[in-house]
Amino acid sequence: MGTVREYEGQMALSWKKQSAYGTAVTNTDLIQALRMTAFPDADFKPDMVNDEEVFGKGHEWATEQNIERFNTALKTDFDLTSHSAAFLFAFLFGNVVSTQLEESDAYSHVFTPMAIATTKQLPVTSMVQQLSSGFKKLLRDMALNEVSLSCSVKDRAKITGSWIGSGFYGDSALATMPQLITSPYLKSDNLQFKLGTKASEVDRSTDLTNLDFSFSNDALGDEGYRFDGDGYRRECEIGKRKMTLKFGLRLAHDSDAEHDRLFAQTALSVIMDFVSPVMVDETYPHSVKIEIPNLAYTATPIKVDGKVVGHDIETLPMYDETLEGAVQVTVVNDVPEDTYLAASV
Amino acid sequence: MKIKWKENAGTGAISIHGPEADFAAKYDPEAVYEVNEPTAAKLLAGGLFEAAAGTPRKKRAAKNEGDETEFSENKEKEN
Repeated sequence: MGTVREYEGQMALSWKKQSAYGTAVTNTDLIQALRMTAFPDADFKPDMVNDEEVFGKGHEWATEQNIERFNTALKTDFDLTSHSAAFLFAFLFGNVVSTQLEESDAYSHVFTPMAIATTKQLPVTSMVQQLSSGFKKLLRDMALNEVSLSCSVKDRAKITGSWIGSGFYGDSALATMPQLITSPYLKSDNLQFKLGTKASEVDRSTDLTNLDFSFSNDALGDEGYRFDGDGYRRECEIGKRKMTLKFGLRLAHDSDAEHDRLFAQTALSVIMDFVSPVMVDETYPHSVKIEIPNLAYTATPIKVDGKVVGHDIETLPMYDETLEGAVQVTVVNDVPEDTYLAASV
Repeated sequence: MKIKWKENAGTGAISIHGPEADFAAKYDPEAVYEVNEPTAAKLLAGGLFEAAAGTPRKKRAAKNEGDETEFSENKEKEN
């Protein structure tokens, strides 16, 4: 009898959401698997109580310990692809419009942060983590709290998601683990980075040295427990959403434009368009486009990378009247309509 | 609100999923859908649909077994 190696692990995912918090995605919908760049360590740490500090025992040792509350957290790391991005932005934002493109086999998925007037509950999904033939666990009620996307000119684009579950980490009856999806990498050199005033953005890809984008739902994990006895989280709602965008731009000899934009607080628009040379079909490439149509610089410190001088730009993304929001992500891939965020029943 | 596909909408299918809308339909120029305001707003803004009159069709099965192109459905969630 051997011991388990890290590389033996597999994860089954679903593009669909649970029909309700507490009701797992059906096994027939747990049919997706993505390449992960790091082991998805399920941080299963129940809150414990014991009597170690209790007075009156006559000794310093605990005599009992009980589980108070269950909790799960999970970090998923991916290379940026049209599939990894769509999976994460679907559950991060909670709202999608999917359209088949001109009767092709390509589909456009437009993700925007969900309205919170109807509900503040984040969409949740289920995952199955198999580490060995004897260890196959269902992670239920997984809400995506934060996504970070980063790339530099020297490295492949990465996207990471941080999940919060209900604490349910029980046995799974999923019979077959899905095979990995073949999805082309969206490399840093597949990025077209446009910056400028809205509708007049200019391609600054050749000046760009790095970028870091993040979006947080500020999920109210601790507030999700209820006085109902079993210790599992009962909901995971949006707190106050926050988005950051930082990027580096090389300093051109004949320009101090970025410096001026900070002092003028110029309203700017950024479009980050990752386009793969690999087509979904003959016409439409795999792509991920992130649009932040209204932002202003908060800092433009000079930095030196090697011997090249540039700006390390920090921004404040703001509300855009036309978009009626602050950000929109459009993904083109081969996943049909009525899949992302459709309820699993 | 009632909506219908525009003629030659240029797509085979559309879906919307979110807390305010839960809708999926295949292109069918004869179909009329009764949807809530947020769903209608998103569909009309997308340019593939227009306001309609007439009797909403909740669901229409395939004319012939296996004829997927004739299938359309309205999965409007009742909020």
